[in-house]
Amino acid sequence: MASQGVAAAFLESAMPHVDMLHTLARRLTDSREDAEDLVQEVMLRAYAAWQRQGAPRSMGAWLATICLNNYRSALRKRQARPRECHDDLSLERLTDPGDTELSALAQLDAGTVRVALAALSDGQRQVVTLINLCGFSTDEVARMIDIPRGTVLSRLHRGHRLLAVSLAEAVNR
Amino acid sequence: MTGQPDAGCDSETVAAFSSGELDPAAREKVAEHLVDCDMCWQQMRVSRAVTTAVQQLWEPAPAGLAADLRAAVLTADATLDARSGRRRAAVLAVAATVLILGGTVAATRALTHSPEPPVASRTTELPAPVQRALEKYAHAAPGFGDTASAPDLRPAGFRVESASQVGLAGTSASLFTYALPGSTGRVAVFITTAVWPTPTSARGIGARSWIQVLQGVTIVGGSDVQNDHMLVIATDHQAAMITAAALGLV
Repeated sequence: MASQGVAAAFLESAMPHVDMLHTLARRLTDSREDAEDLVQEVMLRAYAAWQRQGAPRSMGAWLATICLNNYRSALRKRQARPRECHDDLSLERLTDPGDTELSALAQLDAGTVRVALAALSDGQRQVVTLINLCGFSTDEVARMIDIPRGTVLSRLHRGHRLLAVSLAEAVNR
Repeated sequence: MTGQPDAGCDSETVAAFSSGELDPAAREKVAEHLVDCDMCWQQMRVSRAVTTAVQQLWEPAPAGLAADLRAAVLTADATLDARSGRRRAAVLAVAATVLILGGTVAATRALTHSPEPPVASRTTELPAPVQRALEKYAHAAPGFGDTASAPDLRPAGFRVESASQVGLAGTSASLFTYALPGSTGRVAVFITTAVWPTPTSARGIGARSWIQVLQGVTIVGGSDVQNDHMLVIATDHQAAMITAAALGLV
């Protein structure tokens, strides 16, 4: 019964974050099934850790961190290299979208946005997803990924710029 | 405004501004700079437009996943092997079927207060993964034989035969079995306390119900208008559908 009480407390704390976790997992993985596998794996690992250590200070950030760690661990197992970040030079060569294109971005369908986001480097995609979709602060993301806040902001800026260019291209097609 | 970067241009600060993260004093400073700097103004507009576009990608977890997660946590050991992932849920769905393959046996055992381990010992012909899932997730608890609480299926010609309480994948369920007229077949009805996850291979047959035929067994799952969550399982497809209709699932 005590174990059921622990499980119930964990679920009460964790379940409100499942939509965020699913959103994050969908942007990290290639298919719905892989995303659902990842979410379930994260929840079970989090529950095991909760049983040992108790409740974390910030449940959402903790779950997201476990999700990112699991994802990276799966990448390592597959010996897959994350896509490298674009350097400043390539970024500077990009032409920013004009006013008409910027206004049209909001009208683009989700499928187009999904493809553009998936084309970013892993680091940029994670930062954009965590901040713009999952609602974490740059400080939280810096702790999750274990990089300086300045790097988070830099990846966010580069990610936005690259997304804007590729989405503007979609507008013009 | 200028088209060239000046000493106040800092793309990281503008990114922080666009994400709404600066304190009021810093925000005011950036806002003043944006009035005079075309380049940073453009960066801020790009960030805002992209953020709006990206926010379309919010994807809430499907209802079935949330139910799976609850079941997985409630049945998890401290030393859980988390590697099996969501595919575990598919095994659990099969376990529901298997419980019914031996299901009427489970109910009868419960009614007679048999001390024997229920269900699992009755399923030796089943595939090993299914048996393991069943042993782990399903048990019948003795002491519940109150058929008076069973849904009345007499208008459909089905007579209630047994009642039991079972735990299945962390969900408590009442299990009722019904005898079919002129047949040795049975229909089993689970009434569960939580929505049962929809198996991946099931197809919807209404806004709140689904059907799956697995190993010759028809399973209909769903909720009625009173929000009672049910599974109807029978080897006789027609009997399963009549029962589901009588219970308001379809």
